[in-house]
Amino acid sequence: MTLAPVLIGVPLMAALLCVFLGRRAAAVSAAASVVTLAIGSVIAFGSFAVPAERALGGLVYVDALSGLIVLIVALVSAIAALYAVAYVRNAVATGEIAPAQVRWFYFWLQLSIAAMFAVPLLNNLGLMWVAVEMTTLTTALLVAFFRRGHALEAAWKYLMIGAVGLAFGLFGLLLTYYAASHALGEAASALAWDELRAHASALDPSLMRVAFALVLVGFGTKAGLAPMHTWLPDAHGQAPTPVSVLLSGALLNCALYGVLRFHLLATGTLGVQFSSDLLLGIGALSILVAVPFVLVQHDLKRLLAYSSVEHMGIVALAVGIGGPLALFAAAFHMLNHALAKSTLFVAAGALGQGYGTLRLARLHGAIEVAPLPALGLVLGTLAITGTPPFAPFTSEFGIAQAGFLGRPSALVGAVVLLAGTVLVFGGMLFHVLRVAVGTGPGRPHKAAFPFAASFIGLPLAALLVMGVWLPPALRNGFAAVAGVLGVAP
Amino acid sequence: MNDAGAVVDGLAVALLAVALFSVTIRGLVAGVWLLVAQSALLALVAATMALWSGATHMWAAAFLTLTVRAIAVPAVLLWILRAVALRRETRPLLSTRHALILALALTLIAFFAAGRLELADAFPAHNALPVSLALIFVGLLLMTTRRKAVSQLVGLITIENGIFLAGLIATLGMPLFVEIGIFFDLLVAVGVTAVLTLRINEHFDTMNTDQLRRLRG
Repeated sequence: MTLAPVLIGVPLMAALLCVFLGRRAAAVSAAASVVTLAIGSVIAFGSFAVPAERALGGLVYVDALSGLIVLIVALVSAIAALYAVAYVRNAVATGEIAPAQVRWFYFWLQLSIAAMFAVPLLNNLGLMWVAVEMTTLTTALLVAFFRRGHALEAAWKYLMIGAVGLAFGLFGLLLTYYAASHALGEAASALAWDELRAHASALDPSLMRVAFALVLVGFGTKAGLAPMHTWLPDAHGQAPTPVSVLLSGALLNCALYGVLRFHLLATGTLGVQFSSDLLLGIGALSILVAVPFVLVQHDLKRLLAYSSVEHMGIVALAVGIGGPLALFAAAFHMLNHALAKSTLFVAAGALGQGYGTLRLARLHGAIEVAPLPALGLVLGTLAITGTPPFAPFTSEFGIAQAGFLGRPSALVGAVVLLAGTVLVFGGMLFHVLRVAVGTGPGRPHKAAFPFAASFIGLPLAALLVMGVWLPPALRNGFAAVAGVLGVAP
Repeated sequence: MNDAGAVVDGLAVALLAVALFSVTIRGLVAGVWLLVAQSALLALVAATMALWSGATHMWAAAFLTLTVRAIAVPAVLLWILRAVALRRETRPLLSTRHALILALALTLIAFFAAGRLELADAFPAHNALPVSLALIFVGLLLMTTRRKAVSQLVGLITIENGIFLAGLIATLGMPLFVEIGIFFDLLVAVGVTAVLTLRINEHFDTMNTDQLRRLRG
């Protein structure tokens, strides 16, 4: 798996090139993301077919779970970087971004993509923590890229809450290292994932219980799980839209990846009950917390952000339910959410730039002036809320089914999932239908929506195909991820 | 062996005193200098542990603590304060007296909690682990009750100092390359927050984060 360093290296190089080739930064960034999409796909589908591999003297570790995250980051970052070309050009035209700032936008964008690729590929959990922290730092200035008051507020909140959360994560990591240095001796390998996993049963159970709780709070903060989600709607709502795509589609999954690795570790030490129940609880809470904010929402991108809280909750819930069916559906759902949310944010961004606002009270009749983004928004909403025949219906159905067949707490989780999904379906559809076909005071100051068509179409088409027929390569991939997540110690 | 334990114990008590003192003061520059004192004491702890254990990577940790935490980071903070011409913490959410009472209560809780967390063969300095938890709690208190961006940053670094101390005591720190990653991370974090702080100041003409209360729902 010698491709792994290339995957991290390409966006790093691209970031530097963006600074030096200021005028061509957009092209460099777009080209780099197409390259990483190709390399990422090779790594991902390679990891689905073979058992876990380690490379570079144990620095890199790739199994199906890493492969899935790499695939998601590659897809979402390609969508974000390609969309950014049109979005930034538009923002420069309207004076929202100064021309001199453009290169720095792409610099931070590519740097954050490099950090997101590093998270699932690094074997050492300490370095993985550093990579997750780097994703916060590199995206914080992007969130504040429009130097408006609200954007600065969102970025500050994001940075502070994220840093405190990850500090708790670091403390959990430290306790893990302490426990591991007993079992493995004090060496760098005591934080290596493969070594830890192999010796998980020898770790001190009471320490690992505290460590998992701390990591769940820490990485859960970054993953937008309630009640640590409070920064998320602000950051995702205020960021320039390509950054929202990246934060919502890719970064949340990277943080959740950290939680899942520690869940496996805790399972090896404590048995499956402890961490599964915590995940189940926090997942159900995230769904419940998101519902009211979706129902009474005033801002289109915040609406999508709360939907992200809900869906991260659904994935956590699915892993908490456990068993092959739920884990398969969890992996499937991570990909579904990333694709659907990319479409939705691109559509919302196009409408936002056209209307000059994201306030739902001022977005009306979009289907006439901007048919493609409006259609993308409605179809994307149908997809993400679990309407057949789109793929999220299949994955959510699988999770609910597994819940009803599972233990009593899983049953409660499934009921929460169904109730939450129904309410969010009604709430989101109400809002986006008003945007698409409603009548009201808002009128776009600019009738032209010159871009976004293809970006909206492609992920939606993929969701439609996967809903009807799941390609065998992906089916095997999700099964392999379920295998990794379900390995009995 | 016991001498090293006694030295670290003494340093830990001094660390706690410095952290509690920073709760009681409102001058921003003095707050940063207390952070310097905190980090210098932490470097001394690392150096003591290096002498005691003979581990070369502990000398590296001590050196990094001194250069990054005690010199580079405070230098950036002082530079921010000079750039925005700010001197005092105005209207903290809690009066300094109430904050100190709360901080003392949190310290008691830290000593109680550390007693429950059994790290059998950690370094034999009985005050160190409770103090590290107390630093984390006091840092959280500073972050939640102070309004100035720089004060919140001081709180954040206090939390990180607490975690670093716990790491030293429990496992002689993390493996060196992880440690270097964390230090690098801290530097970038302070750099990014510095840029953000200046932009907030530029935009709002103040560094009060209570202006940052408009995003809701």
